[in-house]
Amino acid sequence: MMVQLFSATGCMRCNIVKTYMGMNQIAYEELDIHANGKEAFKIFYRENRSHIFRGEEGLEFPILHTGTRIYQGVGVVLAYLMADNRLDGFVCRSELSHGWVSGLNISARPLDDGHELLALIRFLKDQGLMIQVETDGRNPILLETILKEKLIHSLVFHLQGPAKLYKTLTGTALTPEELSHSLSLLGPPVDYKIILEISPVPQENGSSDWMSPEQAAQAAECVATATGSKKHPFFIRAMALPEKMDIPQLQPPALFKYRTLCRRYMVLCDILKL
Amino acid sequence: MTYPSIYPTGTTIYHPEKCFNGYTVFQAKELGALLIDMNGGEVKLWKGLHGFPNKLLKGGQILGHTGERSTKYGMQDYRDIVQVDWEGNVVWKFNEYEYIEDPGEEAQWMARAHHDYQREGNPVGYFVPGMEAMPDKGNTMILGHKNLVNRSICDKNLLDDTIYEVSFEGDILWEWVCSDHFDEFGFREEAKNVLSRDPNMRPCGGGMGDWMHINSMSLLGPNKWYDSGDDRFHPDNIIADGRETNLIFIISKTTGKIVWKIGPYYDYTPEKELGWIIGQHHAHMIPRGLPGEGNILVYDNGGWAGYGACHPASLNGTKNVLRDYSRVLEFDPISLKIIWQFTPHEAGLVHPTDSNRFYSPFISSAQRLPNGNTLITEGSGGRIIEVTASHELVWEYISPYWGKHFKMNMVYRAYRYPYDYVPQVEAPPQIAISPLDVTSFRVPGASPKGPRSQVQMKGVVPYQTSSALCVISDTDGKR
Repeated sequence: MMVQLFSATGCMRCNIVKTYMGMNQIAYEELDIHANGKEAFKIFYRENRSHIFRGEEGLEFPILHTGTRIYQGVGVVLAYLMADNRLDGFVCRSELSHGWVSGLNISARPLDDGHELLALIRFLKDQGLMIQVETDGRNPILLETILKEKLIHSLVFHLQGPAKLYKTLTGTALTPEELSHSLSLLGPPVDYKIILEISPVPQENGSSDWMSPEQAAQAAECVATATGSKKHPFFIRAMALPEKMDIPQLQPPALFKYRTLCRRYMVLCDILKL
Repeated sequence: MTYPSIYPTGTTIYHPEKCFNGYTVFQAKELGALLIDMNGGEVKLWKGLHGFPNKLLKGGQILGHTGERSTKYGMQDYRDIVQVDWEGNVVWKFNEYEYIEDPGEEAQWMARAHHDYQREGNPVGYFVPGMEAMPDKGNTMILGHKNLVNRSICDKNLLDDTIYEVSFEGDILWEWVCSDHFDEFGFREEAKNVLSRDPNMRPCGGGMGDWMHINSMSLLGPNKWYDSGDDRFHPDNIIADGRETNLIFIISKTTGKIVWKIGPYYDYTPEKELGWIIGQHHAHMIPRGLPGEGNILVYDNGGWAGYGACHPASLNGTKNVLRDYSRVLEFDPISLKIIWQFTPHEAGLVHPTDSNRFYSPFISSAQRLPNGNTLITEGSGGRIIEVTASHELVWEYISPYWGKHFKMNMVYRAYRYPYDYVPQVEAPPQIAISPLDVTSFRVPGASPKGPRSQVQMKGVVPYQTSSALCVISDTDGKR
C-alpha cells in the first residue's frame, strides 16, 4: 500500500515532509484534511483515535499512515522516512510549535556516530525550523558536532546526577571526563538550561531511595568544575515516581535542601516549576 | 493640616503608673537600632544596624540587617537577617536566598528580606509572656522578595512577595510565593484589568510591579479558634497583609492556600462592618496570654491603596480608595465585629476636620501590651504612643532623628519589651512627664500668652456650642 500523508492546507511542517519525500522520490497519497482528505480523515481519526495525539492547540500534522503504523509530527515522520525505526527513542513528539521543533533527545542510547540523527537535524535546520535538543550528557561527540555546526537554538541538559550514578540511573556508564566534556560545551549563542533530575537510586540493601541532597550537590559541583562558572540556569526537579516504587514522592519542601546544597556550586539554582 | 515646624521631640507624655514600662526599640532614621527607656533615654544604639524592623531578643541581642540592596536595582531588598549581641558582634546571619548581581555592585547572596520576620518561639516578634523568641536555635520565617512574571496577573516584571522558613543552620525549609495564589484573593474583574496594566510599577531595576506589597507576616500561634475546632486558625498558619490590595489573609502552612481573608473589598461583603481598610500595616493575631488574644490587631493607615474602578481621584483605577486619617482596629476574625479601636474620635480629635492629626499614610504598627494598653507607632511623623484600653494617652515619644537622605523622622515599627530583656543594664528610673500646657508654653523670645489690652464688646451674643463650619463635622448638632 502506498503511504498516506494527512496534511493541512498551509501547514509548514507538512510542506517540510513533502519536500523530503519529493527529494527522495518517496511515493505517497496526500490527503488534505481541509480539501480532498476531509472525509477520509474523519474515518481514519475515528478508527485510530487512541493512536493520535491531540494537544491544547489541536492535532499536529502531518500524520503518516503506512498501513500498519501511524507517525505524527514532522520530526517523528522524518525520522521514520530517513531511518525506519532506528531513531526510535531519539525522536518523539514536539512540545514546541510556531517555528520551533523539539522532541529530539540525542542521549537516548549510545550511538557510534549518530549520522542518521545528524542528517535529520540538519534537514530540519535547512527547512528553517528552530530546533531544541535534549541531552543528558551521553554521546558528547554528537553534541559537539551539533554545536559546532550551529544546528540548534536551544538545549536542555537533563543532568542525571554525578557521573558515578549514570550507569545505575540510565543503564549506560558515563565517565566523569565525558560528562565534563558535554557540560563544557554549554554556553552562548545556544540558549540552554540545566535540569538536575532528582530520581530514586538503588541502595546497597536492595531498596531504593531518592538521590541525596549531597549527591545532587556533587552534580552541581560537576557543572561548576566543567564550565568554570557557578552561574548557569540550573534547575532541580523530582522525577514522578512509577506506581510500583514504594517510597514517598519527593515534594517541594524536601527539595529546598537540594536547592540549598546545589546553590553552593550553582548560585542560580531553583526548583523547576511545571 | 497645620503641622508645626517647631515642636518637642523625645518623650513628651509619661504616666508611669498607667504604662507597661520597659524598653522600646525602633530604627532611628539613617542612624541605627535604638533602644530607649520610658523617659526617652537612649540606652543603647547599634549604630548602622538597619532594621526593617529591629526586634529584641531576651538577653539583650537584637535582630536587624547589615544593609539594603542598591535602590537602583531593588526595592526594599535587605541583604540579610542578622542577630547581633550587646557588643555588636554578629552571632547569626542568613542571606542565602538569592544570588544577586547588580551592575557595578559586588555580586552577593541576599535574603531580599523586607518588612517582617519571626524567630521560632514567639509568633509575632513582640513581648508575649511565656513565648520568648529563641536566641540560640529555632527556625526563622522571613518575608522576602522574588522577581518573576506571572501572566495570570500581567506580562510585566513583578516584585513578588515570598515567605520562607530557614533553619538556624541556614537551610531553607519552606517557601510560599504570593502570585501563585492570585486566584484565591477574590479580585473583581475591574481590579484584574487595572493590575494587568499597572501592577504598582516602581522604577528600580528597569521597572517592577510591587503588586501586593506584603508588609507584615506573623504566625497565629496557639489560639482559641483553633482550639474550638476551626482549622483555618492552625497555630502554624501565617497571617499577612498586602498594603496595595487592602487584603489581610491567613495562609495554611500545610497547603499554602489562603484559608481566611478580609478584603480587597469592604462594601457589599461581610467586611462592611469594618469600614474600608486602606493601606494597612502590621495585621496580626493578638497572641495567647495578652488581652484580646485571638483578635486581629491592625494599623489601618488610610492614605491611598487598592485596584478597582476609575474615578476623578484615580484616573486609571490604581490606589482608588482614599482616606486622610488612620485607625487602629481590633476585631473578631469570625464575626468581623470591631472589639476596640483607636481612631481620631478616640484620640479626642474633631472628625473629620481634625482627623488627619492621627494619620500615617504609610508604615506604622500596633502592639498589644500585657496590661491591655496598646503601643502604636504612627510612623510617618515618628510618633510612638501608648494608649490605655479606655483610650487615654499615657506615653508619647517623638523621634528626634531625621534622615539626611530622606528628610523625615519616620519610624517603621516600634516594639516595647520588659526591662529584664536587657540584663546588661539596670532598670532606669521612671520619671513622670505631664503634658506641657501648649497654650502657655513659649519658645525663648516669644511673647507670653494674653492680650496687653482688652475691651469687652457690648451687644454681642455668646459663641455657640454647636459648630456650623464650611464642612460638616461630628460636632454638628451637638448641644
